[in-house]
Amino acid sequence: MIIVKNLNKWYGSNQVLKDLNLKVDRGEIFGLLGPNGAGKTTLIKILTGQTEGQGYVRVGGIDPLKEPIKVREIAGIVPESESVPNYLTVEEYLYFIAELRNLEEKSVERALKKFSLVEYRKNVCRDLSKGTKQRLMITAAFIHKPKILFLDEPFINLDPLYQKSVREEILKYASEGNTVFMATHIIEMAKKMCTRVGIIKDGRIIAVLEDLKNLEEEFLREFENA
Amino acid sequence: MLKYYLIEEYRKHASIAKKYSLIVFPIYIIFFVAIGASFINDILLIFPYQQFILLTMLSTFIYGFGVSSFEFLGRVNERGTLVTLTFILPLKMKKSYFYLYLRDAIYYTLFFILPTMIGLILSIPFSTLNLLQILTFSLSLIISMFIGYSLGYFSFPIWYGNRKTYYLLITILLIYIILVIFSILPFPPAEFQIEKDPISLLFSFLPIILFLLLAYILTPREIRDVSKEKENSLKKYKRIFKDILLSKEMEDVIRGGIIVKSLFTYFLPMLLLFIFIKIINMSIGKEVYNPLSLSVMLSIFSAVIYSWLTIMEDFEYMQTLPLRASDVVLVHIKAYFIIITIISLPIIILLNLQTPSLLPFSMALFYLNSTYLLFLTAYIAGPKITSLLFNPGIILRFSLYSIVPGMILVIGTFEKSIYSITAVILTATFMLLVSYINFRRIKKKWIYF
Repeated sequence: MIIVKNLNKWYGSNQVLKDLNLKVDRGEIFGLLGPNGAGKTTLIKILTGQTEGQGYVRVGGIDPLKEPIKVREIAGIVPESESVPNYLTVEEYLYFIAELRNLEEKSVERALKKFSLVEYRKNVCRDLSKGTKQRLMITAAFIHKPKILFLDEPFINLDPLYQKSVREEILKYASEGNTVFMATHIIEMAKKMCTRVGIIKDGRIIAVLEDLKNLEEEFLREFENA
Repeated sequence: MLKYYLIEEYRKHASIAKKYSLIVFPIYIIFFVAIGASFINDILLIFPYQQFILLTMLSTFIYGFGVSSFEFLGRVNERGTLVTLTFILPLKMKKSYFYLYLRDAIYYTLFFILPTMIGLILSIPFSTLNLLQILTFSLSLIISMFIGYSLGYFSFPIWYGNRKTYYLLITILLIYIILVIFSILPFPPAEFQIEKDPISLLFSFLPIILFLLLAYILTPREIRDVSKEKENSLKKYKRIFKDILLSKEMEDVIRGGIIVKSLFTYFLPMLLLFIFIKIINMSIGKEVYNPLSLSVMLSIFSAVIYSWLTIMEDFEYMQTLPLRASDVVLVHIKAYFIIITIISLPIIILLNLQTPSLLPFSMALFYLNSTYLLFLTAYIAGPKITSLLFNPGIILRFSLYSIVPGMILVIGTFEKSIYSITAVILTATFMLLVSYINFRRIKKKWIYF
């Protein structure tokens, strides 16, 4: 589902991704673990056509470096920061996305119910709490039933109850043959959810772990050895 | 704390343009002021001194009010700035906004007034100006600018507190400007400059102190629009405009108060310009400026509205949707045409009341120059244009491409001759061609936000 070969990315003279290689299969929940500034968000931005990069990249057979819009048609994305429209209400924002993605109007109602946002439907998005904004972004990412989901720190502002329901939703989504690519700091969350975990340091994948029983120890060991 | 506000502003501009670019704009001002001041005696031969001073001081005041309003009502929505993060800092909101005021006052004084002074001083060997005259004139300019800044700062808590009071304030301001233009009421800095009267100087400081005090006192503890539940208006807009992006843009325009906010950056200077042109026509005793040239000049101001449209929204969530930056740029352009049609068309019709046969030509020239300037701005600057002034490449290209054709159109409409008609037709063809090319290039250039 995702193939990355020799991917490089520079911001000015600062190289943030260095000959990065990666492969994620269909139906996987792939976790990307790494400290701040390791390149997690940049990698997600390249995979979802939000920024340029140099190398070979395929997401669902699409080259996001050449067809950035096409990849966002098949993907759902939850960005790192809680960015929502300034003037639209929750319902209007979902309606906006539904129209943009050529979905039926019913999908808005379904999404509001599925992610418990009905009570906020008439509230202006920027006035929501951080957690509710995060829920709205997760809802917006799921609304078109994407084939692949990119999540950048998706649990950071959520309360434990909602974390649980989102986790269940993601597991159900992956069990239907869809793919999840998730960047996170939370080792426990990666352990509970992921099928494999990649460790990223200084713009390189230094290890891909399949056995996640001792993820914390493995993560620290790989990190110190790198 | 002020130091950090200044550093933040400097880094913001330096992150978009290059560090050295920040000195380019002041150099432009020094150059043009020095050239203009060298011909001051010639200018004053055709333009009465009192009207020249009034025009300069009033324009500076309106400019100060415009930039301050743009900052306080527009840019304060930008994410991750000291002002928007005040709630997590050991800092009162009142102080934070006062620092914002000081920051802008310092920046714009350094970027506009100081270069103006330097330009005037450099012109001394080539003009009849002396140092004392220049210092007095600069003081009058600074005061005019500060009255504008302070009024913009004062209007900000009014806007957040009560919209009706804000509209009343704008109406009073408009009436005051008209009364000043017709010499019914004084504008203290202009009075001081003309009369060199210390009482006028004292009266010039009073509004600054008054607006500052009121703004500080009225700034609320928390800046947040009163959140009310809202019905889904987007569906209604979708039925009207068909295009969902344009529908969203128009909802943003209405809910963000863009039409009202653009009144003082578009409508006020425009009104001022027209009245002064009337005065020039009367002074010269000849109607050089006709509805056609006025329509072209009207379109020059309209480009300001685009900058308001570009600061309405945070783009980050848009990057997660199947949208290119160019889609957003193009929808700004569509919204811009709707807005300028609402605001400007009635004015063009009014201008042509006595010459209805010129109306189609006035409209054609207005839309031609608006289209040309907007596509040029949108192509060069893209979806974010707040730092346009600090990028030397952008200024140079914009100046080259915009001033020359605009001037040909304005001058070409002064007379009815085969030469002027040919010049206007050739220029219009060039502008249409360049607009089309820029339109095509926007799609290719602006992929990423």
